[in-house]
Amino acid sequence: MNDIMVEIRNVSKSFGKTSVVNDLNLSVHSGEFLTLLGPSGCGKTTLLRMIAGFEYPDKGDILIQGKSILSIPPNRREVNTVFQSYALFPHLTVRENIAFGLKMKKVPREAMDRRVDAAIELTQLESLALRKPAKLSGGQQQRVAIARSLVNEPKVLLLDEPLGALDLQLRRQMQISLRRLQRRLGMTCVYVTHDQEEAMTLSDRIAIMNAGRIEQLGTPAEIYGTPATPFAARFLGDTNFLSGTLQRAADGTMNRFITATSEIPLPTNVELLKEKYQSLSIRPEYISLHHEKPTDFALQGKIIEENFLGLFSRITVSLASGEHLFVLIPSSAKSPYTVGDNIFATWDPAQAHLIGMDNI
Amino acid sequence: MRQGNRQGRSRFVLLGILAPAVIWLVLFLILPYFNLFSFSFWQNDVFTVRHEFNLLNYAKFFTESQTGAAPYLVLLDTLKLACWVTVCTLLLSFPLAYFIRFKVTRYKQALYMLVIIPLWVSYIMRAYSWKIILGTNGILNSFLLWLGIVDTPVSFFLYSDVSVIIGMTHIYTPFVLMPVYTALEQIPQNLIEASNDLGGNRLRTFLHVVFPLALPGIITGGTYAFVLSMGDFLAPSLLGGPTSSTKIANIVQQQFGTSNNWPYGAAIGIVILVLVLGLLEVTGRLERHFSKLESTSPRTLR
Amino acid sequence: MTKKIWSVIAVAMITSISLLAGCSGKEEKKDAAHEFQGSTLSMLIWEGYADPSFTALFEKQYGVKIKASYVTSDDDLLAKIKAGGGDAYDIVTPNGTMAGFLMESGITEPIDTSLIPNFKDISPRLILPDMKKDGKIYGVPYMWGPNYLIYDGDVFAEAPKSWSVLWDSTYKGKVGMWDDISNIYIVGEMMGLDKKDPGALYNMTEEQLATARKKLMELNSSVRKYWVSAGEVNDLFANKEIVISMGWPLTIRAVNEKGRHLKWTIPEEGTTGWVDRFMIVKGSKNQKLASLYINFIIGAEGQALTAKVTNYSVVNPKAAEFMSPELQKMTYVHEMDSLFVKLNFWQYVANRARYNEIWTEVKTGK
Repeated sequence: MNDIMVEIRNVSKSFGKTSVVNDLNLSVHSGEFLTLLGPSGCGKTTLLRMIAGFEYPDKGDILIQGKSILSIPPNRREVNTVFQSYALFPHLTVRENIAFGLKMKKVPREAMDRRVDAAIELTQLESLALRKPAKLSGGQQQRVAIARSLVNEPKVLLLDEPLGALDLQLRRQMQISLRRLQRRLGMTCVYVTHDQEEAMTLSDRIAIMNAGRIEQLGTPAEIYGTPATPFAARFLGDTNFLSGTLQRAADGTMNRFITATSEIPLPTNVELLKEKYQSLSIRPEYISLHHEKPTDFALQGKIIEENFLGLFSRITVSLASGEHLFVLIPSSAKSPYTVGDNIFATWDPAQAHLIGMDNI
Repeated sequence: MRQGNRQGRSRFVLLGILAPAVIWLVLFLILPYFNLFSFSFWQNDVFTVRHEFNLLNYAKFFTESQTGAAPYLVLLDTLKLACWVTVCTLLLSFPLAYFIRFKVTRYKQALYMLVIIPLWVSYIMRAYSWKIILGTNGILNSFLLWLGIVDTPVSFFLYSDVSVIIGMTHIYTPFVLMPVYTALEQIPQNLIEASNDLGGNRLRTFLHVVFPLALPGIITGGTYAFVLSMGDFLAPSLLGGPTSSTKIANIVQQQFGTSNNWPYGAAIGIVILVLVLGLLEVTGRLERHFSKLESTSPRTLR
Repeated sequence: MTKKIWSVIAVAMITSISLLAGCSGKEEKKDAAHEFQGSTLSMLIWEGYADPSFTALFEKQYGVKIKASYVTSDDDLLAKIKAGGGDAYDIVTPNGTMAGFLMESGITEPIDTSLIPNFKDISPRLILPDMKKDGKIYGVPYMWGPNYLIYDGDVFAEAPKSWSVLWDSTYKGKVGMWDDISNIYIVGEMMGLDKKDPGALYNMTEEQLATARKKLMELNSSVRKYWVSAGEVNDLFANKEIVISMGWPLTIRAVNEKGRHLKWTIPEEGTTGWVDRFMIVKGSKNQKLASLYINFIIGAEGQALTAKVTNYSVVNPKAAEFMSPELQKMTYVHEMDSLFVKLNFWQYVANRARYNEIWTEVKTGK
């Protein structure tokens, strides 16, 4: 599990004057589902295309199982790509599309038929095998694209926003079956998306990318729980930022966070940070609201908005400092809060995280 | 009642919109064809045309004259020439279109225009330029003599079937290039990447992806070249030699000119028309059979 | 400096034009001028036959306008007369190819030669049978010319004696011929068909035609190009694509201006020739004015002016006095009679369709 399948070493790539990937390092473990998550233009697709061989890095090296693949042209790399718009061959049937890679590699007829049949079965395309892509729905085309790549048994499967064109319901369905398939085959996948929910559902690890760099690499829970940068915090889930300064306690630890209007206790394990100015991130669902001042610390404010979101309600609190605080509470038939209420907000100090301001 | 009324009115509006197009079609397409068709069954008199139905014009075209030559043989000759021109234009324009589409990154549009520009140069001028190049003392012969490849000028370059084919190939290549280029241009880049990704090298990608997808454009272009060169009477008469300057279109032109035999000319015209319509039907079917690119957009969700 | 020269030339031109206008005896033409004032004379003619250098004189003299329409071939001429008739054209200038037919089919009117005093000056040998019917004149000769055998003086040491030189393998691939049924006439002359009756060339039997066809098919392998226009044959000679061809004086002049040495000859078998003649279209409303124009242009001065533009030969020998010595030589104005002996003037071919068919068969090699 822990041997490294793909290694990206100090890779940089620019198009003209625009730097797209910037001195990037990344290792993908064998059998791992790793997602490159980030906004459009962050370099995630370019990175994927460099692994596939469609782009050549300006600097750095890309290795598969410890061997550099830079000198290998895309048609001889043991990776396969599922393209954003599927890129199915319109003049070939579903079966011919799936068999394409094996035909190119001159796999003997019998072995080819067996493997194609298996891929068709795996993706449940039996009844559609003789149709042309134009006669298929988006989800069916998607399955053909995946089968066409899988049949080649690549060392790494690269997926470039493969579900982006599907509607929400179908996308959720496909996510689950894709993940199931990947686990069953134990395949190494590098997946590109800008959809945070998709990234969390699918991935073993997520690499949050921004401006050609990886901002944070970790399991979905790690990134969600302890975002390393404001960008990571914002990109994976919603969060509140409070600005203030750190204060050294009598015992020498920095354990208090001083905002304009209040003092907030910090988790005891917080590292010593050099930066004077910090941001404190607290996820909306970790905040609790009280009408009476709790014994612990609390920020005082006024409810200015309440939005019903289904399972949760989102309450906007305007703090005395002028900052807004978003709070998620489970919805109930009768909300205990009304707009205009004076309120106290508090949370378990262990749930809040300090983030260096220089990363914003 | 009311609905019927409304329907009637919208039909009236529709008629109003379509009327100019219909009138144009009738006046400039249907009537002339009808005219040609009826003429082909009449007989020529010195100053007039005798309006009595007969098939003599067609018979004349398909049977031998007193001196033993059948006029339809010229049509076969012309078809052979058209085949040559079709093959040559395709051999020239496909690599050119492929080059512009896949190998040129900058000035793509400019290069495309450069190939198309000859369309704006007068036909006669282009034919004359070939006389200068291919003549006995022309550029090509001077060059070959200078290189020492030949020691006397080659005469068959000009005033022969060769020069007619060269001239027509030059003239009709833009017509072929345009649909071929369009077909290549419409092949999404990611299909080529997909083929690469799946292990296809350049040649196999070309054979299994690019060529099949360009086929509709190739068929369209080939049809253009074939039909246009079949109907061309200028290139043969300007560039053709003693026995290669009279093709079927020249014969038709002669009937409406020097020979002044409109009914016979009309009959040959109808024969050509039927031939071309048949050809268009066949190529149209082939084209539809091979054109698969439409409606494969990933967004065709139900 | 150049500006100065141009203004001098301009002044000189203006003075000479006004002098010319002043010379053309105003007094005696006053009645006629009054009679036709404002009329328009419509002519359907060959290129060169309505040059302002002479039409302007006539227009000024009579206060009329000349409207010229041009034809490019005999068939074009026929088609245009058919379409327009006497309403569209007053005068046409066909050659023998169509003239006889136009006369026989009643498309043109007899011409009153009493209105054309200059008619008596025309060389009598040019009043051909196809210009007369029932003792009436239907065509008045205007210009004429032989169809020469033109050859490159740099290639031929002496003039070829016979049309058979075209078949000589020495000149294989260097022969040019007109793309026209007239090639059949040439073979006819070689066969000696017109020894007794000049008309025999234009009424060949099926057997004779088959022989001519065979002979012409043999010529195909020697021919570089069957040319369709004077411009084309000029280029062929100029580019040394051909060294010999049937042709007209215009070609010799045009090509020799580029420093070449084209020469012409009339082979022993003789050659064909053409006579363009004026005919008046039936239904013309300007018959009297048309006669006046014909009289003007077949007069010595009109003839000389036309010859100057076209280089064709004149029908009125008196024109010589208005021609430069050079032009006199070029148009053989003093040798007309000796030339006529060798000439067979084109006539209407009744079975033109068959001649055309034969020619097409030759050209398609079928």
